[in-house]
Amino acid sequence: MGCCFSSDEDKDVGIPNASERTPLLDPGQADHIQQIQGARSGSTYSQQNQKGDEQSEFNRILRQTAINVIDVTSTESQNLEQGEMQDRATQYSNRLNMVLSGSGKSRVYRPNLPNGITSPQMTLSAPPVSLSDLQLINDFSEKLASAAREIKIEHKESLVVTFGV
Amino acid sequence: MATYGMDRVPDYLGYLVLAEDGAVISSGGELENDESTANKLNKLIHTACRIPITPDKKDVLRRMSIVVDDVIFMVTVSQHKIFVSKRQYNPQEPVST
Repeated sequence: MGCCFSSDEDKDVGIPNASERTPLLDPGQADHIQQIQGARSGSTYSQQNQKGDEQSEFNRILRQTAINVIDVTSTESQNLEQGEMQDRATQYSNRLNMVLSGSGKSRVYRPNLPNGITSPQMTLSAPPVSLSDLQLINDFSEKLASAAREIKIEHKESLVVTFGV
Repeated sequence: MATYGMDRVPDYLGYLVLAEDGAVISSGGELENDESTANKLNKLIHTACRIPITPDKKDVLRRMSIVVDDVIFMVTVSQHKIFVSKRQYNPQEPVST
């Protein structure tokens, strides 16, 4: 934990009496007033400096946040190199497939429909299948289903055979 | 929303146009926004497409018909889209038996 704090301390160097309760974003307005007051009194240098540090600190935080956020609305990323983006994309898809295969749903999305026909309206407008055809199909599927139910394995010879003894 | 001319099918009751992954692109009539029917038909057509019709695989599925009482669902595939038409089932010939 100590090392985590050590990196935090660097941030607060610009603010002399900073404590853990010093807000990072709130003093913007107060600084403004301070700056105006400072301009009147003339001894503004240290405050200006401090303000500059805070500004750069804000910018740094903003930049860091922008890097960490994935903006799905913009197609090109301003912070990522093209190569790095592709690396990340492959990493994400690998992870996704890993999770999908691990959760029992091994059905990774794959489009498997054929090209099909050219005019769906024509095909769908054609007269429907006739009743006799329907009856034929029903009869056959019933016969096949009953045949499949009737399949029995008859045991005739022993599975283990001894050779030449 | 484009109807893809699906409402001009004779004895039309409703229609669905689905993307390859089953998402509803367009719908109308009795099938308007009927996602549960869309999901079932999507699974059916994906299974049907894998069934070889002839051993040499020259013939491909043109139309799948599902008859439920007096209603027929006709499903076909075109340009990687699934077209479903729900029609009144009026067989043109009388029952022969």
